[in-house]
Amino acid sequence: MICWRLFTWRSRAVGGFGTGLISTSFVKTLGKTLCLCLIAIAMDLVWGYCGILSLGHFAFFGLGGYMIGMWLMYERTEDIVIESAAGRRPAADRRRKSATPSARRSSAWSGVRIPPIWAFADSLADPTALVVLVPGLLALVFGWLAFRSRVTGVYLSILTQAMTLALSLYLFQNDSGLRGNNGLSGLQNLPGLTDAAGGGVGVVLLGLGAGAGAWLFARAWVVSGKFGSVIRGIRDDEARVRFLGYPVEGYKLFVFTADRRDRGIAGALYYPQAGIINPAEIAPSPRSTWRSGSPSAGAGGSTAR
Amino acid sequence: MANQALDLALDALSLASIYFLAAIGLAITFGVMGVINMAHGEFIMMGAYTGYVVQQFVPDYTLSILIALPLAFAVTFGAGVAMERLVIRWLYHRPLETLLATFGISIALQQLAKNIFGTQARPLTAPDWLDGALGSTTWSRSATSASRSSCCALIFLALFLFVMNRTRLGLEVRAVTQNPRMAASMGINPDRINMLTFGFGSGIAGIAGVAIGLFAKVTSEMGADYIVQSFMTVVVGGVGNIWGTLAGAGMIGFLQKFIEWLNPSNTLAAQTYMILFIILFIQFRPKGIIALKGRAAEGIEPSRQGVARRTPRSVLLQKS
Repeated sequence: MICWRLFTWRSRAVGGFGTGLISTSFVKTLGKTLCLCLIAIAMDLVWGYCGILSLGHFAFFGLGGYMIGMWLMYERTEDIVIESAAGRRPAADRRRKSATPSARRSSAWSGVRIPPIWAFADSLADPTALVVLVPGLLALVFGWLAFRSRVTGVYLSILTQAMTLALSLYLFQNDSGLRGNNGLSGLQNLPGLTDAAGGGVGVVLLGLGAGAGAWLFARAWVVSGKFGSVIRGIRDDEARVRFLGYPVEGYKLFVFTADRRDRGIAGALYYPQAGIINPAEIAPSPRSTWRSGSPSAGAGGSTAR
Repeated sequence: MANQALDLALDALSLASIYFLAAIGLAITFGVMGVINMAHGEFIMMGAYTGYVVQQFVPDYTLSILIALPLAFAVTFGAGVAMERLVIRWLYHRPLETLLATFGISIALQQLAKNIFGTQARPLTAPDWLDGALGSTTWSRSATSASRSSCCALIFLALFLFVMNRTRLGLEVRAVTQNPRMAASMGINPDRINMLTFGFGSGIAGIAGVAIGLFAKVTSEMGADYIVQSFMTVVVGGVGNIWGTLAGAGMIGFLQKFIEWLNPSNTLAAQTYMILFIILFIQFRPKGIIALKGRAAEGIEPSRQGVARRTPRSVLLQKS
């Protein structure tokens, strides 16, 4: 709670007033670290409490980033794309968002062929929903398949790693419509915020602080009850919990999906601060795994005790 | 048409052989011992770099390959034994922690290779008698490459089978993996056997690295390119069985080439679909193509099933 207050205060100080008290790069580093903390909290639940180690850390993180990045990129480049499609010279100032009425914009778009995958990118609401839905649904299907056939332990880890590789290979393709290995860029320019760096980061930090606070509350409530005991039981001896009559698969699936959804959200908050996302971020490289693995290993251990 | 099918089959054969080469060391450390070694790819890289270094000193390519093979084995054997002594020994029966620790080692090794050799790809040149075309027909290139890599794969398979089934070490390894306590009471030192087995698996990975380096460029990240595929090869084939690894490599190689043939312009998509297929395959056959049955399977199970049955994870954590 104190943390939350602190973050809101800090983001207001930076975003609202722009006093220059704290440098923008420091705030960005702080914000990115917070996003990684969100992952660590999520991972603590799924690994520390439930004993599921997945290597697909950054697949869902990156998915969330791509979802929000599509919106940011669409808003930023819409005018440029329309003008170049109409055969005119692109506007000089790429960051300026013209006040074109949306009706005219959409009519201009109708002449331009955009990949169907971008159909949802026009409004803020759709990508925000997708940040939760896409990783959640993917995790639900994947988890259901895996837990149903009782793929456990190391096999599950390797399977998630394979899934991550498949996802990054898909995004690496140039014809997937998501700009191949270049990825999405310029994500730090939030539309509607003219004092670009400070304001944007402030808003993101505000959301992040609120998210982390709410999440910690929810989690503390969830793991303190019977649910927490059951998932700890699953970690210690899965077969025993199953023989006691608990639907182990259901519990694991819930924890797994919740974890993935949180990673999607964390990613959606991270990449506007990083400014760029490309498939290499998702690739199952040891670097990225270690990056999230090391903080959460400590966290998982501490709560497990 | 027949020519094209043959061409495709030969391409698939050489891909399958490369997967098999990359996976065979893992078939020992993961398949037989049940240790998740994420630094396996880096042992492959080490072997390939050993080959490159030898070629810097010995200009004759045939001679340099002949020197490089045992030297690569020695280097990676040493590295494997050191790693087993320093890290893995303390983490038996804790597969997830092993996985993370070896991940860390693999990063360190990659960075070390970057510091020593730079990020540029280094050539490992094959001697002429290995590189030349066998005939002058249209598919001679793929035929050469396929026969080369499949010959390598067969030699490795024979080596593996010989060591596991015909030597004292193989006998002791099988005894220790099936029942370490019984093996210990028969006078076998399980610690020593584990160390040697891990070293042997790593050494094989090193030799495979020289072989792979002849087909591909040697970079610090070449190991990372193979690690997921190697694990999938072992898991799809069936853990603990070398024929399973062979079948798995064959299946993955041929399937990938077949999907590439359906959509030749996009090899990335082929890999994506191949991995998705494997994920689904493991759902329906979690034990792989050739599943171990009976006592051998039970003997390996506990170390591999995530958390050890007898010691809950919380107890392990309290000790540390």
